[in-house]
Amino acid sequence: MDVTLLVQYGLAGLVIGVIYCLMAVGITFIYSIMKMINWAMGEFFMIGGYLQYLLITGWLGSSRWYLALPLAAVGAGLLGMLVQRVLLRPMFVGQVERLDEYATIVTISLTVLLRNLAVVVFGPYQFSPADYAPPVMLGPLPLNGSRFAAFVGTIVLLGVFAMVMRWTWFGRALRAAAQNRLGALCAGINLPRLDMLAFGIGVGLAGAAGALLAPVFLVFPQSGALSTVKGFEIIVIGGLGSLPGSIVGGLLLGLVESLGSVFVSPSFRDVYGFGLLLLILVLRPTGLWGERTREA
Amino acid sequence: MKGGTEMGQRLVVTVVGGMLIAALAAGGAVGSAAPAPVTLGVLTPLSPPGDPAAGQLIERGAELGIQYINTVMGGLFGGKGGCALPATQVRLAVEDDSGLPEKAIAGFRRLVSEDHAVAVWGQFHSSAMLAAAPLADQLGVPFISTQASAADITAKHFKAVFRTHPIDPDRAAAWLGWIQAQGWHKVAMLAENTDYGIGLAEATKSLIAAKKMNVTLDAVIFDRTSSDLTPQLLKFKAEKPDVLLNVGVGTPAYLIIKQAHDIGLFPQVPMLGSYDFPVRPEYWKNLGAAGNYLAFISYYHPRMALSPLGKWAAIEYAKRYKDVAIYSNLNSFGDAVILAEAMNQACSSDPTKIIAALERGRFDTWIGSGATFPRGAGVYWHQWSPPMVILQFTQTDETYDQAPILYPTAMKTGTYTGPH
Amino acid sequence: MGLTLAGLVLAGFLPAVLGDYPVHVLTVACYYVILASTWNLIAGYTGLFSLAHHVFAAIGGYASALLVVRAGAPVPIGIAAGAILAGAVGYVIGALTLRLRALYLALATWAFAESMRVVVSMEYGITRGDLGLPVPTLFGTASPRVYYEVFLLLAAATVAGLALLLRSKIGYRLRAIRDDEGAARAAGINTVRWKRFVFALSSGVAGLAGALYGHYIGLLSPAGMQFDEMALIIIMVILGGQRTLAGPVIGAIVVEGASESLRAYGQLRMVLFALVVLGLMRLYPPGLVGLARAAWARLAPRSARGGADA
Repeated sequence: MDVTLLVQYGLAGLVIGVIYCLMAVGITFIYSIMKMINWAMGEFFMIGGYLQYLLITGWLGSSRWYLALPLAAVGAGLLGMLVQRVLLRPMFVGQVERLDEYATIVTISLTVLLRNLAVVVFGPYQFSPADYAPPVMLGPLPLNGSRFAAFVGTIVLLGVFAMVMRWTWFGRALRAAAQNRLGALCAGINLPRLDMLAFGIGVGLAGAAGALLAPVFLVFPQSGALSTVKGFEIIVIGGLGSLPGSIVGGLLLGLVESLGSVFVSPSFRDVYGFGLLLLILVLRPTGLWGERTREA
Repeated sequence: MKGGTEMGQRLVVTVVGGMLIAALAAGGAVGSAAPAPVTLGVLTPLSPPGDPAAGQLIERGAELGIQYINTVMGGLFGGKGGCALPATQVRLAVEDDSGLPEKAIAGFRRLVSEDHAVAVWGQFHSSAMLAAAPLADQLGVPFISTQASAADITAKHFKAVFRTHPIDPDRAAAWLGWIQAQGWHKVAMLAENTDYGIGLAEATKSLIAAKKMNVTLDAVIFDRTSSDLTPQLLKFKAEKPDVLLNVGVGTPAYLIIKQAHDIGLFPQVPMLGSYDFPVRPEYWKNLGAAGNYLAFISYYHPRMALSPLGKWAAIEYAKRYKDVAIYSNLNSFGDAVILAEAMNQACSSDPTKIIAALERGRFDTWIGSGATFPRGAGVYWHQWSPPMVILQFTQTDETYDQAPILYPTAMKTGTYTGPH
Repeated sequence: MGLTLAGLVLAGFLPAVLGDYPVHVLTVACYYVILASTWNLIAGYTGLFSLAHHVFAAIGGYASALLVVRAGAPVPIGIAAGAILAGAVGYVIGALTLRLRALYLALATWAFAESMRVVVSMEYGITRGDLGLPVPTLFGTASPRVYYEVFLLLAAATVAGLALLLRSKIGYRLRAIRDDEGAARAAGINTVRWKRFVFALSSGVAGLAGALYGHYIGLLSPAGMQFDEMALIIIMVILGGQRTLAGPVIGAIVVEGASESLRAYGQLRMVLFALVVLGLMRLYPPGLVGLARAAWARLAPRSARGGADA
């Protein structure tokens, strides 16, 4: 086995794994605050991509892609807040009996809605903004400039996210809500508003991932599907509700996929992640870092 | 789940009631088509899990065909070819098969029994086409495969089924011919797991074996929904092939080029696109300079004798849709016109007579004249294939009419150029 | 009850007055009635939110097809084998996911479904993947009439069977599991056994329907294993009314009928369905059956007493 090839595969896997971490962090963040899984995360990824493309080609131009990025992410986030306010709030004000089911059905329907709406509005074609940066060499691996920019952008975003969570009052409120909703309420935190903001932040991260990856994987109505898959695989592996788990899970998934492609078969690349996911679900359902749930 | 409110009830009643009324109206409107204009039917994927991009292109071509028949040809019959029937307009009925066999059957039935279509074309997915083909035979309605490529469609010798799309052995022969002319031996192929990709991989393998060519083929199939093809491409890069065949449709085709370019595989290793997607304007927008040096199969080139029919179609398409007509549009357009010609030759809009006329006659197409659908052997039953050429982009932002023709040798205007 | 029987007999005579196309649509609607009802059993009544139901139908279809095509078995044997295999796989999935919470169960079944789709599609040497696997039909005729009767019978049998099951002690146990698994276990219900049972049963019936369906359409393709199919089943059950017997039936018929009428609108059709489901979940969860009940209650207040469902 050619060592260079192995290293190339490994690095490629790590790079892509880090980027998918953004999705995973978004999903797990929403889960930790609201105890629900948003199946439509991929669609916000897709929306982020479309917004980025439109902003770049319609207004800012390709050299200022880094200005379009936060705008696209915020756009996705605002849409997410609207969705939360209209569709999901009843879950938390006592109007819904079976929360898991409600959340799943609503977010799956949202997936169908957004995906088909995208085809109606944008057409079934694929678009791509120009590459964000010229190609770089990461050791023996020639890396596309946009991928590298996305890699760096992800690390920056995750860093900012971690800092906000750690050092700001807002972050403390979020952590409080994640640990004990009732306690947070007692402490005077406006939970409904916090929920809305948290949802917006979570899907904003997905939108940012979509905007970062727009020139890498192209922008088209089905582009959300794959990122949802990867996001879910990562959170199961790393553990729902654990942010470090998401990051490690992302790296692990990237590696498993790459190495599986080398040693077994590249055609079944996406199945290795599923295999790992099923394995973890059977052996250790809470994931490698997951919370120990207490069933009420 | 708690029960809903009074207001919720009212809202639901209104919405569902509205839906039902709309549905009935749609159904009713379709059913009450007046028999006077002749109806032609298009069955094509317009929603997932089918490929709506392909379906839309085919639908547009079909509409253009109807326009041509009604305006330029002045409708059917009306004294053409000695047919004394009065001039009759045609109208188009479109049904969505969503790429599913079941919906193809339902759509075909609906086209024939509700819309009274006398002929149907527009298929893209082989599984949908194969499911509806026995029905076409049973109902005796001519059914043309516009872009469905599986061999069985014609190899099964259905009485009413015809095809105007290159079959996989033809396409494989085209690129293997070019590869051998270039003196290449080691071929890598990345094919999507659809009927298109799998069919071409198999056809290429069979042809190499049958003709005992001095060519090795490493064909890798990938799932169409996967976005990251870098592992497969890295593997190819390590094997140092002479040429890479890009057998993806839509997004995968672009991703293969992009990602191969990223890892330094393309254009160092020549790549051949399997259909004419580079002709579309978004090609250069999506790829930029990375799209340069791609060779690709195209079905026409301005240096070829585009028939007056094809020229009209290209111009009208640009006028009507502000877009460049590509093969999918033109082939669908051509199918409509072929059917009109068959009806004129048969002097009848009876489906059985149309089938007979299709078998007997010669037809003008968008690319030439003299298309026939004889009862050939094996997969050449009722089969007409448009010609294929191989072009190559040698400069960024080149348009296809400037691109040199590399193959077939009789039409060559340039040789393959790699990066300097 | 008598009304239902009369309705059924009448439905059986429909092909005499309708053309082939409407009969085909009704046949497909019956197929979806079976799928929606069995999913309602597992998700609505037992609380196991499985996202792999459509794949069990496909497993039944492909198993039967491969046995018939590659091993030369007669079609009825193939269909029976398909149902049994689907039920067995369902049993295994049920066993593996015993301890998983609703969220994780959804994830696991979804992962299973997607992997199956990729495997069937990529192993095209065996399954012919996207090229389509041609399958001998059960009755050798392309006319849908006889298939309609078969599917109508199977759909009626499924719903009747479900009604009996839910009215029985097993039904109480299932509902207890859904409402509070811990309490159910404390009350002495063998939740392990019944969860596996309901998974096996609903998957087996789905597999049977899938096998029959394959031998009706005459061609199998992995397109029906995509997540869109599962979303469609969910839409049908929600629209009709979860946790009712009639809900999936009405939902399947309405959605399939609307799908066909709104054909020309392609994507918009799915946008509309999604909006309707979102609206229903948010504003009026009881669905169409709930609506019908409320209307009935208003028209005949004294005779409207609740049915045997949850």
